[in-house]
Formats: sequence, structure tokens, C-alpha cells
Amino acid sequence: MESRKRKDGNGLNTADVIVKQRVGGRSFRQILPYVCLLPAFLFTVGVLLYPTLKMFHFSFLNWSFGRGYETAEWNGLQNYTWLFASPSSTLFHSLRLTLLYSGVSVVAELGIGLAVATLLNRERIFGRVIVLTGFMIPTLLMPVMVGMMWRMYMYPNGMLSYFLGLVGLKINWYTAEWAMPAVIMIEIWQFTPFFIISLFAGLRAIPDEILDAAAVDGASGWNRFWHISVPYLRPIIVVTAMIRMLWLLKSFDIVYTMFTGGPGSATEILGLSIYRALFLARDIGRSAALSVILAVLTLIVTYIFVRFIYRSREAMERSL
Amino acid sequence: MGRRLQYFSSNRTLLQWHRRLDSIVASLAVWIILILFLAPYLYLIVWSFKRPGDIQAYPPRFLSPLTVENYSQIFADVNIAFFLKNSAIVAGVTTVLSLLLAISAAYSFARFRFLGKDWLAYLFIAIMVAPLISLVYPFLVVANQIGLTDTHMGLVLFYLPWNIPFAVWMLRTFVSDVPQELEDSALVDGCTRMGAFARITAPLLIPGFFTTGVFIFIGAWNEFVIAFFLTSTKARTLPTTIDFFLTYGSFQFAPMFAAGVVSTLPIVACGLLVRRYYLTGTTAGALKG
Repeated sequence: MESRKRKDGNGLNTADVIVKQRVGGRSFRQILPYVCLLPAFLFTVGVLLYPTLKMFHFSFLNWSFGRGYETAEWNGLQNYTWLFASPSSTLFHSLRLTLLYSGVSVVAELGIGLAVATLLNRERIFGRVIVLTGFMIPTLLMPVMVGMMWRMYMYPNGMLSYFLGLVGLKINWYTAEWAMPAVIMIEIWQFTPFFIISLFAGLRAIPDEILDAAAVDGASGWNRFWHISVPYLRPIIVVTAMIRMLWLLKSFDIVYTMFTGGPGSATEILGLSIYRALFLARDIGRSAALSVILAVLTLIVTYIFVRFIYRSREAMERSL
Repeated sequence: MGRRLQYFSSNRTLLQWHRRLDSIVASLAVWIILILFLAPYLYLIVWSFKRPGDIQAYPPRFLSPLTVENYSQIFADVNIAFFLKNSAIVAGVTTVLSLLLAISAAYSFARFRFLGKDWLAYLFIAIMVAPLISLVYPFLVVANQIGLTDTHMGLVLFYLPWNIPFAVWMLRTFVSDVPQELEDSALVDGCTRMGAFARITAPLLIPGFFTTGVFIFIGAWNEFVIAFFLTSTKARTLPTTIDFFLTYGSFQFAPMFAAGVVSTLPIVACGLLVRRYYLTGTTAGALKG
């Protein structure tokens, strides 16, 4: 512990020294950080541990929903092998849809968000604060109600159909072909503002001197954007995209209220396939196995992004 | 217009005119984009005041008379006040408990160096992002075992694991922003560490508590999956009431519009309350990790 600190080059700070003198021992000072973590730890890990273990446990069972636990049979890895190997398994279909859904949403939100944030960052914008505040609103709305709202608008006699009709478009959103674009569009509508706000904050944080210096050196607007603003924004872009990606991977609400995974299985992303395995196929084991797969997928993405954040932060610190 | 002409006539440089034009065009573009983004929600609000017959009219009747009939219907027939109350209780208790249980951990992460700190931070992040839908059925089983199905406490208990890590993550940055020297000087003056925290740091953290709290409240208010599976009548919250309007093919538009407004407007108001911190909260909270 002691040598670790010296290696960090910071040594003891005053507070540490004082506490050490006051309490008169190393032991209390050493366990204090852990004692402070205890309440939070108990109510997160403590609450989640048993259900998580149950999730793993159930994934090895052959157990029908609605029947007593005593009817459950140990099934080994069969739920997993069925999901990965059976021709009637929708796992890969769901994975593909999930990646499509989250990938397209994040990329589109990032693109539009960056463009609008750059526009907002012009020298003089009338009512900039009001605009920023306004952009907050869609991100705050209850996803279930957002799904319901768009469901009403996308009916053939709904508001969206009317306005699309004005420009000569006639789309039946309730077909296998258009259901996925519909939910992606709703996601983009609701969460592009999240990117706008956070990227705008990032743009604001770029010191004026750097951009001015580049301008004096003769860099064009596009070059300044691409070679100064974007690298500077990179950590914010990654963090925002990470948060969004994780929301999207586990998303359920909007797709559930819009289509409940249908028509057919056109919008059956992973969250929905967990739901469907449980309530339509009434198979607790397979549903739990899908849950494990989703949890692992989420963890992998989180881990990659966390590594990336640490790396980009180190790179930033080195370059400063 | 007059002022612009004046600029021209007083023979200002072309650059200045160019800047002015740039700001007008950019402002106009930004406002149009904003209005496009807000239009669906504004439409929901306006149409919730239209008579049931006008709501589904095609093409839309933009100038039909307004009424509060839909609102009185959801308060009388569906008793939405009951669900509003449930939502408020669950979200409020979740917020307060999350903050209380998270603050010491946030302090620990912000102020101490200890073995395994990075890994514990990872653990909290991993928990914060764990997919709800994966754990819903085990939750249902556990809640049945300990008799917490369809109770406010049951919902709160299962909301905590997601909100505490978020609160730790947010509050940590707020604690870091309070200069260590302030606490150190209190320690020198003879305060205990606890006393220094209570007297010096805690009052400075009030904006942090408030901001974090509002975000937690919004999240808990909007939460659908757990509420949908764990409640049936007594503790049912707002998001799960959409079922009422979705009964077997007959989709009731008019009360749906009103319910949509009732369930979202309080949250929009909450969000506007922390407008200033939405930026600092999301970006600082995310970046410093």
C-alpha cells in the first residue's frame, strides 16, 4: 500500500497524515474506505446476487412457465445448445436485429447530434439557452408513452401518416418491412437531443485559443473541425455513444409498446425474445439462457468501452 | 431590417455583414430543427384537449374546439390519480434511499486511495448497466418468496441496485469538486472526518444531491419493465397503465393522449428544474469516470 502510493508519486496528503495521528493506527485508516462502501455495496450486490445466481440456475433447467418449481428438471447445457444450434431458434435473428437496431440508432444519433451541436456552437445563436432546454424534453419522456404516442401517429389515420402523405409518401409502418425502421426512427427522435446536448458541451469546452491559433495559421473551418474539434471531442463521443449503446442493447419499452416484437418476429430484439420465450413459448429455461447471453453481451460491451475510456484519457493526459 | 441597412450604409466591412448573416441563418436552422424535434410532443399536448371525435379525424382538424373532457375521463374512469400517487411514492422513496446509501461510497471513491478501487468501480459500472429484462423473472420469484410482489417496497428494493451505482458515480464527481483543502483545514481545527464532512462538504453538495436526485426520480418514474412484472393492482405505477387503453384491438385514442400528457409533463417540469445541471450532470458525470 505504502509503496504503491510512492509509485503513484503523490505520497500522503495532509488529511491522511492527520487521520493517522488522530486514530493512532493504520488499521482503521485502511478499512475506512471499505466501510464507506458497505451500504452501497449491500444494497446493490446484496440485492442482485441471489436473483443473478437464480438466472444462471434457471438457464440449466427444463421448466415451463406457470408450473410449480417441483416440475423443473435439470437440463444441463441443452437450453444453450438448442439456442445456438436449433433451426427454430431465433437467437441469431435476435442478435442481428439487436446489433442493427443499436448500431443504426447510435450512428445516426451521433451524426445528426454532431451536426446540430456544431450549428449550435456558431458565434451568435438567438436563444441558445432556450434551444438547449427544448432539446432536453424528448430525452425525459417516459419510453412507454413515447412508444404509445408514435403508435398512434403511425396508424394510417395518424398524424405522421398525414404529414408524410402531404409530401406524397405512403408508408404502412405495421409491416415486417417497415416495423424496424419505425422503432429505430423513434429511438433517433428521442435520443438524438442527448447527443446534441452532450456534444455541444464538449465543443464549448474546447479552449478558444487553440481554434484561434489554428485559424491564424490558416486552417480552414473544415480542417479546424476535423483536426481539432473532433479529436478533442473523442472522449465525449465515446462516452455518450457508450451510454446510448448500453441503453439500446437492453431496450424493451419502445419496441414492446409499438409492436411487441412483431409483426412476426420483425422487431424481436434480444430483450423482446427474452419476454417472448417466457410468455409465449412459456419456457423459463430458454428465457433464462437468453437472459444470460444478453447480460454477457452487455458486460463485454461495457468492458470494451471502459478500457477505451481509460486509454483515451491516458492519451489525452500524455498529449497535454 | 433597418439596422442591417444601417450597417451597409455606414460602410461597415463585408466581414461583419457576413457574420450577421451567418448568425441569422444558423439560428433559423437551429430553431427549425428544435421545432421538428418538439412537434410530436406538442401535438400530443394540443390533441389531448380535443374532443374524442376530433382526435381521430383524418385529415387532422387543426382548429377544432378544445375541451378537458379527456382529462376528466382518465381521472374519473381509470382513476389515474391512484397511479400517479403510486409512481410518486415509489420514485420518491427510491430517490431518497439511493442518495443516502450512495453518499458514503461516493465519498470513499472521491477521497481515498485503496486496494482494488478500480475493480470496485468497474463492479459498480457493470451493475449499473446490467440489463433489467434479464433479471425480471428471478426478481418475480424472489419477490414471491419474500412476499414483496405488488408492494411499493418491492419495487423500491429492486430499483435500488440500478440507482445506487448511478448515484455513486454522479456524487463522486460532485465530492471531487469540493476542494480537499476545505476538509483538511477543518480537520486541523479539530473536527473529526465525519464532522468535517457534515459541516463543510455536505452543505456544498446540496446541488449535487438535488441534481442526482432528480435524475434518479425521472428514471424511477419512467421505469416500465420491473413495474410491469412485479405489480398488478395495489402498487401499480403509471407506465403500466397503458394496458387500459389497449384492450383487444379497440384502441382508445382520446384518454391515451391525456394519459400521455399526465405521465410525462411532471417529468418535463422536473427536468427543466435541473436544466443548468443537465449539462454538467451528464457530461461531468460521464467524463470524469
